[in-house]
Amino acid sequence: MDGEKKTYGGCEGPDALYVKLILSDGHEFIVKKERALTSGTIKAMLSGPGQFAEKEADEVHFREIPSHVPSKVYALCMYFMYKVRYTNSSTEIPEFPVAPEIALELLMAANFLDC
Amino acid sequence: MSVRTPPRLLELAGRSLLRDEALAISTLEELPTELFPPLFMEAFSRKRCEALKLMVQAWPFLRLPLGSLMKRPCPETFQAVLDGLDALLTHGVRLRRWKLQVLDLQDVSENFWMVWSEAMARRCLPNAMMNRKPVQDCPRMRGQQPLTVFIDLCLKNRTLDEYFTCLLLWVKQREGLVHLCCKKLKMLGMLLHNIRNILKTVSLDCIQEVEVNCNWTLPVLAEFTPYLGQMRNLQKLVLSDIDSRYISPEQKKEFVTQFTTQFLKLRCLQKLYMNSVSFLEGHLDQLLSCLKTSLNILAISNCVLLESDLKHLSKYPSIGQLKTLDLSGTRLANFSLVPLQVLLEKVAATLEYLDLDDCGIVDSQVNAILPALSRCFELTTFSFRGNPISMATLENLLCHTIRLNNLCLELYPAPRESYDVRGIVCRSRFAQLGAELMGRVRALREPERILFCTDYCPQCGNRSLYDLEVDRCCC
Repeated sequence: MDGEKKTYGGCEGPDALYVKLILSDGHEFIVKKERALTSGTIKAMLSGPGQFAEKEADEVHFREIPSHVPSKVYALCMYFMYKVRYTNSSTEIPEFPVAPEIALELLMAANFLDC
Repeated sequence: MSVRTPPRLLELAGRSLLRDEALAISTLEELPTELFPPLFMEAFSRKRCEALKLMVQAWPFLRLPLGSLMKRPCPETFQAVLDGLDALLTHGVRLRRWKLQVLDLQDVSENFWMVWSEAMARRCLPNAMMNRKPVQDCPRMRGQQPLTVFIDLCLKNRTLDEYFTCLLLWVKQREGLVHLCCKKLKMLGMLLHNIRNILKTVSLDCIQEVEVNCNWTLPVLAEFTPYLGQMRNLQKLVLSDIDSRYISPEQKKEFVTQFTTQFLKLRCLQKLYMNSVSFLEGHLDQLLSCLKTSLNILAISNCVLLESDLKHLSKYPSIGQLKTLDLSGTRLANFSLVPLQVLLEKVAATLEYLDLDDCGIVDSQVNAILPALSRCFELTTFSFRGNPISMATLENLLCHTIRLNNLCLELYPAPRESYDVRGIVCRSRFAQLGAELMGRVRALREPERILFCTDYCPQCGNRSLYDLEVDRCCC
């Protein structure tokens, strides 16, 4: 596949494959929508009334979550992947490791994101 | 292979935090209030005793509903909770946010732990808080003792289990600091000697419901009665299987007097259930005269009464506003049912549930109660199974229920004509008569649920039913 450009779907429109998570300090993360929907909070925000009427882009603002703990954001994204991978799976589910030093922050984020 | 779901991140992060108890403890001060319930659940299920102890001290709610977590009590975790409480009570340790005043050991249906999880998920904290049932209260909570422990006691073994023993000892040793509030007490098998020790530890005036079903004799019941008299706030009393055989009539009268006079003190009593209580025979008047409150529920089931006892039923104002009257299994054969008619007239405006199953009522007695029965407009459930009445009487009875528009459930006996000379039900005849009766009822009104039931099968112990089709015995 040399010479082929790899393209990604955008964050816009009802069939968007990706969603943009915008944290409180302005940092943006683009995540596959299927994985982001692991979070009940994100799911609710994206399916709220007027979402598609008012905006074309699937963007979610988190005014309460800063990105100053990058490992936390990374862990969240990894968890979304883990959840999608192993939901309704008949294979053995491995333990998802959570480093103790970010456990409290992750606990609070998980509580907020309902996941 | 079964399909599984990965654990939630909330659970995983909590688990990781608790693996290092020192770390978990150091984070308690900054842990948001809403995260206490899930973290506590995790610590409890994984027996992180040190973390539990500290979490109890830092608990940011008025109440810790431990009962609903303790399906199978674990001594270590329970002791950790008590140790945490001790630090608050005896050492005066108070973390900044400590609000805990109530340890709730009742197993209540309202699940605090799930409610908090759902409220978090819906992000509707204020609404969730308002829709919750009000927290259990006790007037003594506003007294000198800083901690109240709510517990329901079900004493069914000969001796107390380890968990109760631990709790009672702990409470006894903290007299003045802990108020043990038991609202429901069931005695289902424990010796009175052991029960006495428990009754000395709980506050008797907190008890609202008592059930006695230990095959006590009347003398043993009489020993219990002083405690009964101290249960000033008792609302419900269930008494089952009290044996008064082998007692002289004079002794019986004395014991019955001891027991019934306690009712003079029970000014909150609303529900009285007596099942297979043999001393009532000839003494119902004595009991009813001591009732000083208006009962909602009166059940005298599987008892032996005299005809004179029945006459007293309608005399007393305390049973003039009944919602439930249950005389099932109490033989009324050969009695004049005029007193029952008088009682039904008195309670016609309030009666919702009437059970006259297996009273041995025959055709000639039924007419006495029909006029009053037809005016019990609030009746929702009427049960008349096991009374040997004829098809004609049953039709007449059904005619008198035309205007009982609130009836939801009606249970009638199979008419006598359903049985052969040996008393064995003839199924085809039963089906035919059932269909006729159903047709008659439908011509008069539209019943919500109506069943015609045979006597108990001597082999399988069940009744056969006629609803829309004939049900069959298992045998």
